[in-house]
Amino acid sequence: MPEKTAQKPGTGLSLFFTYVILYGGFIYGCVFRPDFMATRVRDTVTVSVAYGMLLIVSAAVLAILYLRRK
Amino acid sequence: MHYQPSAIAIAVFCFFTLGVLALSFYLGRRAKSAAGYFAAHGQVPWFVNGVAFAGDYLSAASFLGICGMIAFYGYDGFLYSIGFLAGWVVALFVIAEPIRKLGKYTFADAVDASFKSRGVRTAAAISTLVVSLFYLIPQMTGAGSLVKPLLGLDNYLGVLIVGFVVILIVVTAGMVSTTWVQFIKGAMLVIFCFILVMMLLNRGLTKKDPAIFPRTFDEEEFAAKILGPGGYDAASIVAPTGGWIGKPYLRLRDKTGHESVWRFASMRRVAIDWTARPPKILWIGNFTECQIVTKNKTTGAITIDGKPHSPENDYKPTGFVLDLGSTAGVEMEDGGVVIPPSQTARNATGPIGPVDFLTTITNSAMSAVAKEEIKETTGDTTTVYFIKSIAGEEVMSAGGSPNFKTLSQPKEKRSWKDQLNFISLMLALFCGTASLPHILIRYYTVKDAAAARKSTVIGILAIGAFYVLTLFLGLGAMASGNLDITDSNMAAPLLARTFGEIWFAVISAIAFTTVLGTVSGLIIAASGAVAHDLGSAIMKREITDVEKVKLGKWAAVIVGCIAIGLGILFKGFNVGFLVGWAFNVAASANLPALIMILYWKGVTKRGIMAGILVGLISSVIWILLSSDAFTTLYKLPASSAIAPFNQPAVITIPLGFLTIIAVSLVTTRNSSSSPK
Repeated sequence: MPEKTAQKPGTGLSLFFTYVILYGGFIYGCVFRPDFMATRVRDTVTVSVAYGMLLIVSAAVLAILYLRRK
Repeated sequence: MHYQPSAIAIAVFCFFTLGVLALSFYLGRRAKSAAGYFAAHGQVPWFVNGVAFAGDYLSAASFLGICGMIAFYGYDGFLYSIGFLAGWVVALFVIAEPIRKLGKYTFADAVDASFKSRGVRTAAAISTLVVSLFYLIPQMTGAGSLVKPLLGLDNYLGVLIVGFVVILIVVTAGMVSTTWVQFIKGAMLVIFCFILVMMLLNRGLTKKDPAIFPRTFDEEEFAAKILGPGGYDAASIVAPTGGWIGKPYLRLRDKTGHESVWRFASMRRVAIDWTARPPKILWIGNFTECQIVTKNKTTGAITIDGKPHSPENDYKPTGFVLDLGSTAGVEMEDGGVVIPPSQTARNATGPIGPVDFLTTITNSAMSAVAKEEIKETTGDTTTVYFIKSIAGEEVMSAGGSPNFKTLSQPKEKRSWKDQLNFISLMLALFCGTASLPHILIRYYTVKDAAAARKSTVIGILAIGAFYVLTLFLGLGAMASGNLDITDSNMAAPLLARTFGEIWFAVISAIAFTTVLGTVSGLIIAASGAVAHDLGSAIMKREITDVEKVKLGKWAAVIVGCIAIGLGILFKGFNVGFLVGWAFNVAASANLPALIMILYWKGVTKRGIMAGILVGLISSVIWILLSSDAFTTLYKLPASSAIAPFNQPAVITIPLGFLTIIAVSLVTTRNSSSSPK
């Protein structure tokens, strides 16, 4: 579709705010919900570790989305 | 810890370093003979440029500092990994694209684009200079740490070598960014760390051998093995004096003066009847071996375990799995103490997958580095190094390091200051990347916008992959049995050494070239600021190109010398921690100006000038008045610090924004200095 290949002015910022919510949630968890961050994901690693990995992966995914939407 | 420099280590190290030097000279010469080479940036493929991003960004701090922090304190180091990568999201989505549209590439150019103001340019240049210096400190300190074990040279010599080599590069090769050097460096760093993690997973985790230092005995074993026939007798017990009184240590001294110090690890009941002659020992409990290091207050000479510090009598390596957990669940005792489900009597995991690796550590008991300082009656200071058992769950949760201790405390014990301190650091890391003087320039080494975006994504992928690896490397070092208790920066290279001398040499050499690359980039950025921006402002006229180059070279020499001095001054600091400071200053001084110029039409040149200077000065002063600076820099008690917490960003970034808005609003009414 032609309109999808056109420049979308808000795209970068909307991806940015998606990430801000994820990152903010992480900081909120570290500061205010330590019990939750210490629980296990399916008896494996702690939520802290899983969430941290998720942040790294989501940065990469958002960057790729940014590239593809352009 | 003593490091015996080996021929192979020196050979590999020289090969890498000289290779990078030769390449950078070669490319520098080529660039000089063809002036348009770097202007016609389309020649740099986007993939190469993307990896060069990683080469630029993954400095000594990322590699040495984060791995070291994880090895010492667990998860807290990984918080830096997360924050450093998050910064790229800001750089890519918020800053880079609009700046591209402005057609400006450097911080000073961007903020000055619409004003053409000498004042704005000067403020931006000063800020670039200060941020570069703050960022240079950890790089130099990291270099000092590296050279000691590799070449057997002292810290300060390492700093000097880096300083001189870099000044040489900058002055002779000129102001040319060697993208290919950064590409090779970045690629090697990610690839070799990946190989290292693979070897680590293939080796798996092994429980500590009870026979090696530090040993732990219960009272019966202790009496039989240490105090038994041929060992120490009751007469060798050193009666506690000075700061030793009331401390849980038992000191034994043999006839040669060698001391063996034991910490009552679990103090169920330990007592020594000092009135009896010889003193009578009454105890029930565990004894864990310690190492004591005494520093003479006048000469500064160091004795270890009662004997002078020498290659034979040196700091002992540490870092162990004390109890190996399974990948199954955990049991909790009433007191909340984690009992690792290790009763399976497993001593080694064998080859292990990445998730199982992390899960096993979470279920294990790890050793944590601990120390206590004791004042002797002579006035000397003795540091007792010992290991503490720490539950894997704590290792894998925030709050293990002294800076973030509050995150692991129960709610009622937490102070708002400490919580704000943590939020502040995470904010600084988030906002700092886009504000670093040498990062935005990279976005433009390929000319075409699509290629620039593609290479940024490659950069984020490479950097993200690397940060995932840091968690494994750090935890691997924590369990390697080869951790230097005195220098957290050496955790990753020393982990590599457990796989053989050649790996140690390769990893150290890569780390060293990483330092070289980052330092030259920073010095070029700083000297550019001086020559390009300050030069014309001070001379009150446009200076010629010849003058600019001359001025830039002198600036590079001076900045390099300052960096050498600071690198020596900050010896022994964790470099990741130091980089936190640089990010705070960069984010406070530069980010508000960048954002306001890009997104607010009402901004004025006075507003920008004031914003940069207020953000810069307030964050630097805050850091200098923080308890971190008081304890580590001025050696004063933390309680006398003036700043309420360590990381200024949460206060000084908004302060920068408010200053710009307030000053802009006031000055638009008075003058018409706003951009068209």
